Amino acid sequence: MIIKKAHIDGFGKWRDRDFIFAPGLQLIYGPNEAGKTTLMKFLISILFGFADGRGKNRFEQYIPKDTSSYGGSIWIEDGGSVLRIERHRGKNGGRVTVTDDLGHRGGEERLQQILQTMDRPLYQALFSFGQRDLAAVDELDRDQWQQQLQQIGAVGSKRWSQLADQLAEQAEHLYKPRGRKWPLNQDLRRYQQLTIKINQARGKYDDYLALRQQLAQAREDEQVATSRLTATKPALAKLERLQQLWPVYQQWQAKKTPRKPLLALSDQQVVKAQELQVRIREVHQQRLAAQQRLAVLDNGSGHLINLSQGRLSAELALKKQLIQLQAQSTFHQQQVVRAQKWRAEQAALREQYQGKLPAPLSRHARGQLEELIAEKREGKTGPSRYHLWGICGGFLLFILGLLVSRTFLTVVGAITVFTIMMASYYQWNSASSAAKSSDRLAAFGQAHGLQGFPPSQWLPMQADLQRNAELTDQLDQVQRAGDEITSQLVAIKRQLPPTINGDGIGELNAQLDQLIQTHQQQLLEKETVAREGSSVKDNLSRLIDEENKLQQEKMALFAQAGVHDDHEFAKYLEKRTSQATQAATTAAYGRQLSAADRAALAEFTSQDQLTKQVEHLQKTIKQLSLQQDTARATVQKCKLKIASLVEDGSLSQLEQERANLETQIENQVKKWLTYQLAIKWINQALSLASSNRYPAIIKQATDYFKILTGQHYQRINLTTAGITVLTADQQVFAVEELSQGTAEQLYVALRLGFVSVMGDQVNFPVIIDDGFVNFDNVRRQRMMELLATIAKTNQVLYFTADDRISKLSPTVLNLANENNE
Amino acid sequence: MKFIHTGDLHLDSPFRGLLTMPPALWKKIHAATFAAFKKIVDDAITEQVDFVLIVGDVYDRERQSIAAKEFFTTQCQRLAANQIPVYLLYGNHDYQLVSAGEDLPTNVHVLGNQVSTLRLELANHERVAISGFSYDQRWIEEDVVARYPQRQDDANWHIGMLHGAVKEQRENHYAPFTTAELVAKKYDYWALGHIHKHQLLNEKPPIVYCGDPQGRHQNEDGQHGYYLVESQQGKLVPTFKPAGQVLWQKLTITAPKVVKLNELEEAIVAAVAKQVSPGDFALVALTINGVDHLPARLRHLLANGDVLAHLQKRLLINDGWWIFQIINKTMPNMPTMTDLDQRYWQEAAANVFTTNELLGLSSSLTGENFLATYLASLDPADMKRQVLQLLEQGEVPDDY
Repeated sequence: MIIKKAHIDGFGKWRDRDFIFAPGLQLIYGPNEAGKTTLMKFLISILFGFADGRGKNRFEQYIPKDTSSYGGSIWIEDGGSVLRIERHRGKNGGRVTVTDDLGHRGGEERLQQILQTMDRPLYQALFSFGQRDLAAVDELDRDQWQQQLQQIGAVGSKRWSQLADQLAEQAEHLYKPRGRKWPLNQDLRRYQQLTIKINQARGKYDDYLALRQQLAQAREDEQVATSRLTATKPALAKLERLQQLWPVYQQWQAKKTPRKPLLALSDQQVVKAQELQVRIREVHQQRLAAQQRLAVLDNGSGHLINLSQGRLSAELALKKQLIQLQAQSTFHQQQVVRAQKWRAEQAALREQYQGKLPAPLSRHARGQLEELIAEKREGKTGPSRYHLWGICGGFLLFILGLLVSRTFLTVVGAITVFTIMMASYYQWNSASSAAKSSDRLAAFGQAHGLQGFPPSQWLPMQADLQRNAELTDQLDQVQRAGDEITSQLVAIKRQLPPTINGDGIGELNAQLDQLIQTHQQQLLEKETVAREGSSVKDNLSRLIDEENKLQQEKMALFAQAGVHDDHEFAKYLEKRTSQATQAATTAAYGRQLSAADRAALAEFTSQDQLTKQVEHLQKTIKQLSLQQDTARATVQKCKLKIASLVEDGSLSQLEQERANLETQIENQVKKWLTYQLAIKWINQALSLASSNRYPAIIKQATDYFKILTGQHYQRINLTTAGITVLTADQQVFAVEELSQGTAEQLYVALRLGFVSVMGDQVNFPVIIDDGFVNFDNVRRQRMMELLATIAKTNQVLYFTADDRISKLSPTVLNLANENNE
Repeated sequence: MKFIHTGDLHLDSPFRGLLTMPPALWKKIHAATFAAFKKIVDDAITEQVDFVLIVGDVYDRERQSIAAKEFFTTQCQRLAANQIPVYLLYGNHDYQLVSAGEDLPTNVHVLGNQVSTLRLELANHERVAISGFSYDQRWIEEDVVARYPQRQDDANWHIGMLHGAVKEQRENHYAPFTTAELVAKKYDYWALGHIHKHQLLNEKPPIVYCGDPQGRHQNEDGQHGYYLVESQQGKLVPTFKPAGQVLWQKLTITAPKVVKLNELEEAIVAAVAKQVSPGDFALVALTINGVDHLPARLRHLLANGDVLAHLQKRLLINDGWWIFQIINKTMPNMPTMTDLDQRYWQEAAANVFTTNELLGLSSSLTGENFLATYLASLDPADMKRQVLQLLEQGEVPDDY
């Protein structure tokens, strides 16, 4: 491909400018700031697109500051035809138009056809170099030279190398054979640690096996102990029986009859004695109870002791009196009421008779008075015929009594006669004495207090006087009755106990009633107590009798047994029972003492020997039991331990963890290997490509190197150790030993060698940006010659600021001039 | 006559090829080898078999699992309680010197380290001869079958027990034999152990690998269990009975046409749910085809394991399955920038993707046995696919 012409619409400092390029070697001269680099970037940008505005690339954009037109066109000759490639501002590196000489227009795809696999980085790596690359040559070490060489040898190798580096970096971030911190390294270490842990955990397996063995052993031990115990226990039982039989045996042997049992009392008697003991206890208890009861009764009836039937009768009599008194009192009350009337009547009488009233005349006095009055009127008096008749009758009765011999009648008759005669005498005598009647009447009035009243009234007023006397009498009577009641009440009260102290009769009556009632009850109670007391007393004496009787009966039995009290009897019974038991046992042994027993017992000389053997067996059994227990405990312990070991799933877990880790490691290894293989593949492909081209490149490069060094260096050697060069005088120099200038020449020779070898496959203009500043004039001259040679197959665009170089070529594009235009 | 043929119990051995898992899942998995054997013992008791044959590898000798030994003893005791004898030999994993005082219940009869024949008489008075031997070392490379006796005429049934592998071109560490050799003994049944995939090597007479009752690796996928062998018209007929508690399953789905992550995940869950065998708990290794149709972002998330991690988080083991791996077998294209030097790339690939290169690169990693084994098992072609996926992941920088 040849770039024939360029037209810049606007790119960096360039605007609307045309450049014409020679098909061969084209020198482009310009001092600094003339726009060399801008023009170079323009050409590359048209071919491969504008740099985008990201990152450091934004400084590669060259967007003009003062025009909107960004881009331009180049005309290239490719495959015999001329094409115009136009690129302007647009997406993805700019809008491209490709127009061929027939006027057909195309876009990006058409451009790709032209460029084929070439792209910007590849182009820059292969066909473009400058002072910067040359300056770096000096610092290349052997490996980098190798890489440089490889880059020169293989298409796109720089990119691939970079990718390989990147992959190597990624791989190293995964694993380094001697690293520590990388994931795979760490996983591998974790794997080892896990393995150690697992091995440790497996250590438990030995414990487990040991436990199983221990378990088996313990089970065996237990079985042995058990079977021996099973065998020994009956032997011991047999010996123990013999031991029990020994006394019997001894007795049997000594023909000794068993000791006479202590049988003073028969069984029935013992029972009887025991019954008696029980009975006595019961009776005694009853007796005590009765005594207690009696004491209680005596104490309880103390307050009743003074109460007697007589007192109650007196109280009842008093009660009767009181009732009578009450009746009298009631009557007296009525009399008191009447007395009022009587006093009034008396007062009236007294008033009638001016105060003093004489006493009424008695019947006799009245008779006298009447007689006196009559005498005064008649003046005579004789014996009364009645007296005569009485004397006659008495005399008759006397005679009759004498006649019929009736004493009684005789006496009565005598008495009557006598009496009547006496009376008549008296009458006669008085009448004779009262001769003078008026005198006698006055005397009479004087005698009877009637002197204040005319004698004529004496008789009529007698009714009033009688009445007055009666009233006085009645009033006195009432007074007396009242006094009587009062004195009676006092008398009664005096007889009543001091507790009864009511005032009225009614109250006293009620209190007395209550007292009587209480006393009646108490009396009743007293009687009951007395009755019970006597009954209890009876009972007590009966019980005492019975107890004595029973006691005697018991003591009789006790005496028979030779004991004196219950305590001794109890001991006696104990002894008796044990003797009975012994007797029974002995009897049983006697029965058990079979011929075989006797034979077995005969083997022992003494009881001691037998006892020793029993003790020995007991000891053995004890030991065996202990062994059995220990073994059982061990079995249990082992089982528990085994169970806990089985339960402990940590080993399984660790194993699974490790299996998982293995998977992870495998995955990482695969990834790492993928990186490594990718790197290897890339390197090998590059190596193959370069090694295939090396001979041609080296041959070509050797020619160029000869030219550049004026035949001083004759050969370039490529060995596994690196690149060496051979001088004309057969001296070998390693690439590092070369001077900066020579190293640069070698680099240029190799680069151009590649361009020339690849020329038939890919042919692009070679762009050199201000190279060869370290070359002396001679070498620069040679360089130009070499470029001229290259230019026969590839267009060479050589940008330089060195005006000396510009003089070396006839076709110089002077940018300084362009600027000046 | 009726008996059970089992072996390769590998009690209490871990499951391989899993990364992290929830504790509940771990419990389930850990219990699986135990539960599988317990099921066999249950069945033996239910079926009232005459005896049980165990053809080695009860547990891993190296693992020294207490739980395994104790569990095995307990289960044998259960069989003892039901008057079922056990005929046992040791394999390459539990090899040991067989002595008279075996620490096992008395119903367990262990075949010695030399080929020997045990005899028993069944309740129906049939006589059974059982020939076999126990490993006394990890590898037995000689042809031990030659020392097995010919069929015993005095026995109604003659059964061979053998822990071993069919003879191959090289690496014959496990009592190598040929089917013809076994047939020639004229036994009624050959109970084989060692290979974990249950299979019949021969029909008449049956020469049978019982497989392990519980698969422990994704390569031990599908149903696992034991053989119930019954006599039918003078022949012994094996019937496979499942006993595995956790099923390894390899499933393949095609990447759905989705653009969002949760759509992708839902599509995966739905597709797997449709395919897993119901009734079993499945550990699923899921291959997704047609990944190249997915958007780059989802491809990336699939490649870096994010999708799997997220799916595992949302899958409960109650669902009856668990995805432990997502495999993407889509072969990506070569990166375009290699076009220029295509032939060099291909040439280099032929050199680089070889077993030797793999081993050379990983020489520093062979310290652990498992890793050495793993490295040896890597497939160069698969590694090339991995590398291409890596290069395709766009880890090439856009600018430099």
